[in-house]
Amino acid sequence: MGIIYGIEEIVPKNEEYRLVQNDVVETVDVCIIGSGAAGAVLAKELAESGRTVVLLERGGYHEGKDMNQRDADMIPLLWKNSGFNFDDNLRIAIAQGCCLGGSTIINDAVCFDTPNRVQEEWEKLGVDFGEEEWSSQLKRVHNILHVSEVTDDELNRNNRMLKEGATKLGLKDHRKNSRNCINCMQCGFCHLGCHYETKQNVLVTYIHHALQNNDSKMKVYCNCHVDKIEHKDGLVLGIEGDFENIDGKKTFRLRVNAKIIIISAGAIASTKLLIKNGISQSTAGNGLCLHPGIQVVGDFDYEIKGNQGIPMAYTVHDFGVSRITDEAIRNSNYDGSEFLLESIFLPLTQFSIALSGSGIMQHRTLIERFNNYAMAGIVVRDSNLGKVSLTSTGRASVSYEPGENELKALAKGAELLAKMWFALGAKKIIIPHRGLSIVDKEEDIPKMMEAITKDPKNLLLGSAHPQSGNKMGKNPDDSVVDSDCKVHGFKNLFVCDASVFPTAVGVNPQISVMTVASIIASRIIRDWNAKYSDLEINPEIGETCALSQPMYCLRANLSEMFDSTHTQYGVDVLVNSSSEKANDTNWTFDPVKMTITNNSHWKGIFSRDADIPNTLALYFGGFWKRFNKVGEETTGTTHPYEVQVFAANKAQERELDKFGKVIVLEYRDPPYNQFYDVLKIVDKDTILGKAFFGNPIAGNEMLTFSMSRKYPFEFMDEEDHEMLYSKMKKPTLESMVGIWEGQLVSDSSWSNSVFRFRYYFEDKKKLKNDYLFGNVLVGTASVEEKEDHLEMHDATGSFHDELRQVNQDIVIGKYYSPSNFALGWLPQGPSFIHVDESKSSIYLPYILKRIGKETAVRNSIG
Amino acid sequence: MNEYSILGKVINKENLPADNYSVLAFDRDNILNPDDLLGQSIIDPKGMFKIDFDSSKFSSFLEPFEGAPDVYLKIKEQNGQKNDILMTKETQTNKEIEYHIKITDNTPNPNAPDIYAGNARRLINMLNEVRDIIGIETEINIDLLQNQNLPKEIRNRLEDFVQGSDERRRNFEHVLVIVSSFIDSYLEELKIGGIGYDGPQVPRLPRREKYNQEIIWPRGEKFKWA
Repeated sequence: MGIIYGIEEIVPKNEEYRLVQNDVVETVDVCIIGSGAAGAVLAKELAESGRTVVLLERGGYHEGKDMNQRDADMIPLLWKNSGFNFDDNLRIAIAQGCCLGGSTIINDAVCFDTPNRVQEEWEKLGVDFGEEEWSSQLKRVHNILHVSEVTDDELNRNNRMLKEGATKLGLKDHRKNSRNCINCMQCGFCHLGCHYETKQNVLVTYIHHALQNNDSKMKVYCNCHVDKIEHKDGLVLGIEGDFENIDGKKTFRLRVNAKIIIISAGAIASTKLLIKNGISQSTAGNGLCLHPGIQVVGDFDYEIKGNQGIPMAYTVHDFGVSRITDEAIRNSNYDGSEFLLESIFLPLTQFSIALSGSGIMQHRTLIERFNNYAMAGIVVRDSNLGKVSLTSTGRASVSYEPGENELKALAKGAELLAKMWFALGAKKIIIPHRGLSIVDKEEDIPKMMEAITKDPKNLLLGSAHPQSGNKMGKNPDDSVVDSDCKVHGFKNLFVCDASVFPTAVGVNPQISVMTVASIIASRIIRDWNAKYSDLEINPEIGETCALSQPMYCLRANLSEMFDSTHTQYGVDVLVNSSSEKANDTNWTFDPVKMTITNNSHWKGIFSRDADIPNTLALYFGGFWKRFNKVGEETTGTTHPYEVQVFAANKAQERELDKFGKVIVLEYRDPPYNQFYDVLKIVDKDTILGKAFFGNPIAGNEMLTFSMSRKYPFEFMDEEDHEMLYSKMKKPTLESMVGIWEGQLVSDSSWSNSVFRFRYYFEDKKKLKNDYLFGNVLVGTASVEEKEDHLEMHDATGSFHDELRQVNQDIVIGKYYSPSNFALGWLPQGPSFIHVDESKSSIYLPYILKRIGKETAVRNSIG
Repeated sequence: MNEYSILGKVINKENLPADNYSVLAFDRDNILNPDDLLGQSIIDPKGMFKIDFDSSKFSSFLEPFEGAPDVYLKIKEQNGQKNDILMTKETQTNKEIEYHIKITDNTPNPNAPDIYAGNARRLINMLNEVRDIIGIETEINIDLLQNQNLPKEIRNRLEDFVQGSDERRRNFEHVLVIVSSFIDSYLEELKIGGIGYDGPQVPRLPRREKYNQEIIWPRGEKFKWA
């Protein structure tokens, strides 16, 4: 049986659920990122074929009993960005789910097969799915989801208004929808999750089946945000991410090593993940489609109560890609984009979006007519007009403007619906256009259409189907994945969700997404032995908490590790080199493992919790301890980096009641002799410790820490930075071209990424650097070659940077002040500032990491 | 002529039609007057039932001025067992009521956590992010346009973004309307009374309370296009 893990405390539910209480490391066959329509299908099919599967989901795990039908409660819980998911101009509201089951939890359960026209179009664009694959996997999806046509009894009044209106207008191709529901309770709250579990979303079908299977080796991790894909030479080595609490704060870490990684995070998030990790940067996100739409509301003097019943059960196909004939298009000489007219009604709060073309006060008046409204929506099959990229603050940027054909479709659809509503007796029509939101006579319909086509910036659009952007295709120059959904240039990385559609599917897409996922799953299963089973996975632990790398632990885990560990060595292991300074006898750097060994002292490291006291400790509370053998005694010194304190101590092996065999450090001199440390040596280069106030029998515990003299590159202090710089070589100008993120190095810790550089050649000769520091300071520097480093000078003239190369993707740098600046009265240099006595100057030490060759951040610098 | 209709569907906990049950509809009266049986129906193989009745079924000399029935349903097993499987809430109707009922066990857990408690914080986080879009990123991009030697594609994109700042501010008002609605939705009880909106059909904290899974749709008029 499979298990769901998460960090939210919840009551017992249908599936077995456990809390995540430590960092997680998994080594499996398949890792799937995203548990929506595609991810869930892939997870079940691959798990049931015998593969070990980990399914990751950013949102939480919520079942029917949690769906309380209240917008204010459910939208923040189930919808991406708590419902505030917009394009860059805040004009297009994009509805996506962010919970276990993804958008299938919040959709209207509408099931349309991929239209034949679309399948044929995709085939011409390089998608080589066979007819038999399409039909057999479609049938499989239908069976698992219990897809069936809506019955006549299930057409509520609002649906029947559309049916009646389409008939009155002489339209011929309108019909009941199919839905993935079993005996729907018709509550009308589909967007807020199905309380009754009659909607057959992927949680109660695919995920449930996979978990309940006795042979299941599937694990689901919720509340987990993946942001790092480690890859090299076309092979993904692993992925990493963080568990996030409801405040969005990071808690535990996750590392997954897998033979194959499948990204199914949706059209926007999948693209963001690719670009952020330097994958397909010139192609990912290009040609996003949104199926933009508006709702058209009719106000009647008779009761409709459209919220009672199934919101979306009827569709007019005459102008859609799913149409049976071209008659309506021909008869109206229509030449815009294809579109559907779909019945839809919304609960009260969401309904306000349809009325928000008006101002706040008018809106409140209009909402009082709620029971007398009929509503239908226009869903446009748009061209690939949009783009997903990253902004300078790391946000996903969605740029989109509807084109002329899309506006024609919206105008035509609005015309048809307005005519329908007037034919049925409407007193006024309401559309979400700021310039013309109400039309109260039929003669004004042309004005409404003109407002839509000529003043589109005032038209407030919605999108429930973001798709495309990471297209399937044969040519790596204009597609991201091949027909197996494998990313071009990679052996084991896939993208499989709506983002791989080459063009907009033109109908509600969940069945298409799931059919494509089902096809891809069957192909992976077919090819497993030949292509994937022999891929070697190195079971790396990444940046997760472990005894061998306690610097990655949270405070609670560090303390638990200390309590459950026994010291492995005696005091002799504590002794450091005779030299107190780092030099070639006691300092080395391993460029393969990216670790530093520094035996001049033990570097003290605090836990990575992000609360305020710990953040202060993190940046300013770092310390080292150094030990010598004096006769039979092992003596030591503790020195906090930021103050002139060198507290002498003596190390003794002792047996303490609570901790067993340990090493106790007792401080000699006041006031430090009020404190003592208890150390456990876990290996020759790693110590866990606790600091106490009082005497060693019954002291009060103050804090937990670890110490290392062999640590990852990311934990270097300023002395390490100086040593490393001295050993590195000058990079070539060409190797610098691209986008880099920079972090400042202090003795205690590195900063987060606080600046970004973009290197490029001006006029093909001069290397330039555009910089963005702290999201505030911008400028351009020129880059010169010196004998043993690159040097950058900016507009200030007096400050400059010196750079050397650690490897292809990491550069080590120093930002120098002019000479003589403050040297006399800052002999040591506070955190982040280092004194260079040889140049009579100070500098900020930093590290640059490459984040892309191409323009990763296409909305801003880079 | 039957002026009133009670119709609906009943399913069991496996989401299948509850066709081994029957439905009795009553009008709730005062203590002096026993409740009136308005009608009864066997649930058909699709789970559907319908009961039509006129005002004579609920008006009597004891309540001659009762304008509209206060309807509740009882669901019983067809094998004649006396215990009611389920009794719905009362609902007044002027014309018809549609019911959707799922017969399930429901054991409340008074200690179940309030999983919605963090939502206000989520909303505020998201509003901050929206504010960043219209604030910080516009400022950054203006600086970049002034200072940078940018590729044409990026320059065009940044210019579009900066030029759209007025539009984004106006669109932010639209976002505020939605937020206003969210706030109003906390006053849903008033709206339910004022405009006849049915509202949610389950308790706010479903895991903590005992309740029937019933959806009750009262209507004041027959549908014009029936």
